[in-house]
Amino acid sequence: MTEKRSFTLLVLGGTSAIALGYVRARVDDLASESREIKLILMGRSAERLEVEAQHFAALGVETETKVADLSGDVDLPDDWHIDEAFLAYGQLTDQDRAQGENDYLSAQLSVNFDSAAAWLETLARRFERQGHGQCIVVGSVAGDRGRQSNYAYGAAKAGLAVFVQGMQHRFAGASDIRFLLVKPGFVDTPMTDHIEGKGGPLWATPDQVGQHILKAVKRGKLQLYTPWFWAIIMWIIRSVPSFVLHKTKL
Amino acid sequence: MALAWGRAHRLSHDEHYPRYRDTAFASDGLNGPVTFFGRGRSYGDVALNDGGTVVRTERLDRMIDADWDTGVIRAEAGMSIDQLLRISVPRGWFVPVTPGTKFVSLAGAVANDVHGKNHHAVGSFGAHVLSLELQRSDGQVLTLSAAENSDLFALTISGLGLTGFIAAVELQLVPISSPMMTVENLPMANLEAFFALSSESADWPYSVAWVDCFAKGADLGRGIFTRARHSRKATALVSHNSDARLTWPMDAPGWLLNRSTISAFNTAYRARPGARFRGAQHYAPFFYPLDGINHWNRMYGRRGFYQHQCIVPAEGAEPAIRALLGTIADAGQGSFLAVLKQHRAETSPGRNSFCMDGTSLALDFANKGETTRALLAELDRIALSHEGRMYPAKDGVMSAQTYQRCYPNWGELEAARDPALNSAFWQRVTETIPA
Repeated sequence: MTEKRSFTLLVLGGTSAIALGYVRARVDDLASESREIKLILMGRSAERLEVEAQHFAALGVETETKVADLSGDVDLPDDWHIDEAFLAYGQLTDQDRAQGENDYLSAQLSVNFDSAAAWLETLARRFERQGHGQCIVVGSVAGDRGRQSNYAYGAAKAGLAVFVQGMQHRFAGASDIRFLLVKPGFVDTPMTDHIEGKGGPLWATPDQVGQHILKAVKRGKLQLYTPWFWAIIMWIIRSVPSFVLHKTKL
Repeated sequence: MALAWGRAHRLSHDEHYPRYRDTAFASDGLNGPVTFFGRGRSYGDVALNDGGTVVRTERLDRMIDADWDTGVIRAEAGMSIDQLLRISVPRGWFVPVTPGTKFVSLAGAVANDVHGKNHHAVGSFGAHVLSLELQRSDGQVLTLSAAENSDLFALTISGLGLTGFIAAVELQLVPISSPMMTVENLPMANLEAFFALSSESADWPYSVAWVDCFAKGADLGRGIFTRARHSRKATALVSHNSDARLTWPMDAPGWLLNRSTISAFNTAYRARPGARFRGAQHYAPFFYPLDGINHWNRMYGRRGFYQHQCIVPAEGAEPAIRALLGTIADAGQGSFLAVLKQHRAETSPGRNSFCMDGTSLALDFANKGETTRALLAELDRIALSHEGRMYPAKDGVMSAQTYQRCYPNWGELEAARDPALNSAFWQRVTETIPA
């Protein structure tokens, strides 16, 4: 007699709009399968995490918050069984500032790449010990090609993409350990609020992105552009010869 | 630029999208006046202003607390009825009152004290609100309920969002054992038939009538009468899919909706097999037929449209509705969304609520400029002459004189208004009328 064990979902970056869009979709989905869920939200602000946690607690999800500096040392408690991890923390680097201040540049690369790599290795070891695990990593289309408007952020995300690719190769034989790299285009979240004239057909909502990611997880995909048309846009941007790209301000 | 549903008001203002309700009303730094805006399903300018800031609450869409044994939930301002139903229906609970679209925020539902097809049975939304969290620009955070700050509670319900930021809403849901509705659609020969069918259907919790607004003479008020109840047969509690199947892709040309096309539609609509349907229907298409088409308001073209909704007291309702329908049929400007409904005396505590014991009529009019506004003014006059009133959530043109006559308690709302808040609607209707 097998009892469906509780499903633990760990979110690194528990106030991330994209992460929460995914969690809502995931919680709905697991509830329809009558699975018990345990949700762990990790991030910097206890207060903000509490507000997000309350929503899921009201839906009957066992929710825990853990305050941590995700860009610092990795602390994944030994007794945690992680079925699924969603890595969504990061900062949209101010390109101009990165060009002017080495300390800022270094700190940004550390948050967006170094610490993420450390988390991924830690999770990989945990998944190996468990015999199973799914990790979803939020990359960015910015990592597809270095462009003058955002290459500091793009480089970190590009590094992350290669790192995840390597892990996917490492675990190719183990069908129960999977890593999905998500490359969102324009998503309507606080991170993009400063962008002039946001909104319009190219923009997606966190809920839409969350649903899309869930579908990809269930299909065991390795990589996802969301919304789908970004795959085409980025293929073009990657394929364009340098002399053409260099004439643009992209 | 935030647009209301009618898209006829194009005002410019800053837009602010708070992520957390404790910083939503940091009014220092916000260009005044400030107006809170939910999902933009009000038709006119109750949630808009010119030159100030529109605070959009759609990111404030979290549940705060829920007791699934008692059906009492507390949620943030911007949670929509759509989001709420997707959570509550699988747990066996439904909203006590819903307007014709599920894409309204809970705070917006309170601010306009919305009503639904079951008004004659249970009153407006405000009658089911247990408490509110209200934030004022001076930093106060108040709990409002029948027991605490009850005057402000009554003013905030139907208060058009002017007493402060309605940050959280505590609501009593109603239990259901099935997502299906038992529905009956009956042919309605004319206005007399409407009143007869309404009184025969008094024990049906939901009832409403669609009316062919071009029918004249003996056929005036001809249409389809619909009544329904939640199915008592226990079935799988499946909620709805929020994604619309269709999208109205762009602004339609202004000539698309005219007398001939609408008449043709009306005839076809009355003749279709569904017009006599009796049976089980899922709650989603029953309550929200138009939500299935994204941006259906674009059908009215770039100039947008106005909705006119008025309610007249029970005594003298029939001649009043007859006069309204007659004027509309004669003017030849109408729409296929013409709705008649019977109401009962309001049980919500809202001091400026729209509903009363009587009959309401709601219609859309394409914005054809001056002729449309003249027709609306004439309809206002007819409603007023029968002691009726218009609904701010739908209004786009009501004069101060008209509004103040319809809502004698408006002065109390003005006195309780947070000084940092105002709306284009309120500025228009509170203009001092020369003696």
